[in-house]
Amino acid sequence: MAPAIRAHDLTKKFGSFTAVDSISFEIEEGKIIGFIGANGAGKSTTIKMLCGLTKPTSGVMEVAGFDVAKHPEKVRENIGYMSQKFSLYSDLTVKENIEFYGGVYGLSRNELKDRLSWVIEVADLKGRENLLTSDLPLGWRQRLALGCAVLHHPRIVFLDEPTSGVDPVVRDKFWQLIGQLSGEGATIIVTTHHLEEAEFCENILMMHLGRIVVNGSPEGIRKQFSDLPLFEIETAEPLKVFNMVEQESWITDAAIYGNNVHVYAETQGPVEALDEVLKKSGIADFKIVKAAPTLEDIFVKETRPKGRAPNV
Amino acid sequence: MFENIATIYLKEFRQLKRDKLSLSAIILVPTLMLLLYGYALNFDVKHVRLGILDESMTKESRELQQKFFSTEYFDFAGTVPDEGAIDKFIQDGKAKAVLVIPRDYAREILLGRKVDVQVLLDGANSNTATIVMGYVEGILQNYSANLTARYLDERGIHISSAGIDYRPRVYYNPELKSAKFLVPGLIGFILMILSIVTPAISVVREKERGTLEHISMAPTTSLEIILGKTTLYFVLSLAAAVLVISASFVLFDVTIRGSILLLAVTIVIFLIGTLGIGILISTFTNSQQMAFLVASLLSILPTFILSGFVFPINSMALPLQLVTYFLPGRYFLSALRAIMLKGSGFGDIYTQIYPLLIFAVVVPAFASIRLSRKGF
Repeated sequence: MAPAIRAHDLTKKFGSFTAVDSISFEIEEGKIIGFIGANGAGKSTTIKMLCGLTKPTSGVMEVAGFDVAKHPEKVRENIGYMSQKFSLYSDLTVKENIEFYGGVYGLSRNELKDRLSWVIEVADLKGRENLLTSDLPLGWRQRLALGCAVLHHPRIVFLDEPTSGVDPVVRDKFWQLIGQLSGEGATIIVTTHHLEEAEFCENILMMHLGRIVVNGSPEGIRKQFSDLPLFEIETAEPLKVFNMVEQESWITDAAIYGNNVHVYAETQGPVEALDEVLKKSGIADFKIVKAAPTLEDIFVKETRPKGRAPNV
Repeated sequence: MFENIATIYLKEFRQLKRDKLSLSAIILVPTLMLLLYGYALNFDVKHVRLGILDESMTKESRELQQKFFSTEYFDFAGTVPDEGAIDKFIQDGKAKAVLVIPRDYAREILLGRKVDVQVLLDGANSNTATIVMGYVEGILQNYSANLTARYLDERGIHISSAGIDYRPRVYYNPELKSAKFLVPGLIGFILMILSIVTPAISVVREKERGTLEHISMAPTTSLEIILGKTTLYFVLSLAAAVLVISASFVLFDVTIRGSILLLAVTIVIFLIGTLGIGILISTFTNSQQMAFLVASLLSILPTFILSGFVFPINSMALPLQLVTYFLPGRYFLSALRAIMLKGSGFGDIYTQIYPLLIFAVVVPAFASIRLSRKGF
């Protein structure tokens, strides 16, 4: 099967600032893909280029089998887009918003009727059809916005920071909806800076300063980075341990989690060195365990400027 | 194509329906302006307060006074005690003008000699002063001719049939009412606001909120978006024109002498051009404040000042007169006045219609070229 999206050597410059720096990737049809990165990493710019909203400075993109530069209208017919900016009209009712987006996407009367009840159902808006959108809580609005973005059954759905600003419960509900769409066969591309959300994706692309620094499935990435020098020190005196290890120049980072101290070292196999440091300082009761890296650990490591401790 | 336009139109209509502020502005602004301009902006100078310094105190001098106060142009403002009090009398605003009748007035008249009568005017408002001067001159000349005739008559010379008999007849606006002159200009002014400012703001608002980005993601084209939006403001502008015309008929007796069809066609041509200007402005601006500022500066202000709405183009400095040739308001106003007041037909005003047609083609064409190249 042809990939849903293919990007080659994609670059976007705003003046002297390079927002996206010659990235290349392919996205398989039917997957949930997450673009993870801090604000300004280039995720949204990438999405906007793929949607045809921004022209790339250079590079080639194929979306749903069409060259974005040559056939933007073909691309548009096959994609849905929801952005971090609120896409609904707050001064229209729920129903009017759906009718409007159905109209601009060229749905027939019957299709619109079907989709209207579908959106109302999945967005949990039964009985709220005639409420003004501005009166809806944020979580409902976001589900409605997603519903409006997929009224025309797009093959690929782009969601640019769809969950920014909502609480975890609402976020989980939103991801259930994404899962449902994916189950219907759509390819879903989500940008987020919440690393927890990366776990919901089948594939993630971590971006940093306009480049893709890590690309793979969450398990694959974790496996790839399993030998990161990451340790967990179980102790009764976490604060003391923390103060101790932080002074060591070869420890790049340390953090306290309850009775544990997480330590991130610069080199491999410093268990003995750690042991020595702690014993020397008179801490008797401790246990050093090699820890498996979380996606957050990997992201922090990959985006850390060389030679400086991160601020976690 | 048509369905997409209808979708945008319906959405825009529903939004406007809920936007009580804009809606009331759209209805209130024309009404308020009509009342303001109809009643307040009045060039007719009547009931000018005239002070009298009568040093003659004779039957003859009272007859001269009578000539002034028997017209509706002058009202008696009081007597000024002496020459030294004239300045203060005018300065305090007690009178706009003071008539000074000299001590020897009656004697000189009876002797059939020329006599000087002085009128002192408050020239702070030069327009009013000029008009008042005209009245004074008219009254005095008329009366002086009468006096001459009477004097000769008493001496057996009859010249009543000689000389020029002045009988003016004013066309198109016989009562010389300012309202009749202003209403066509007002229609142009209101249409400018509705058709340039509102669509520009409506587009830019969607830019600000990010909704425009979403519509432009849909297969709907920019042209369809524009047509959907402008159709609503087109309809609103026409409704406003009808409102102003009917209200000015009720309030100021302004009737349409010419063909209503020609009037409608002229308005439609004008609106196509001005809506184009509004859209063009929206492609250059990114915030509602900016759009409002640019739209007002580029359209309303020059229209108000340079289109002959209030200030006659003929009396402007030459460079400004040249500028007016690039303003659609200039042609629109003169066409409207011709149709409404003079009852002119197409043959009389085609020189005004052609430039409007050019605007109606060039501006929207330029706007759509810009849209297709750069988007909103």
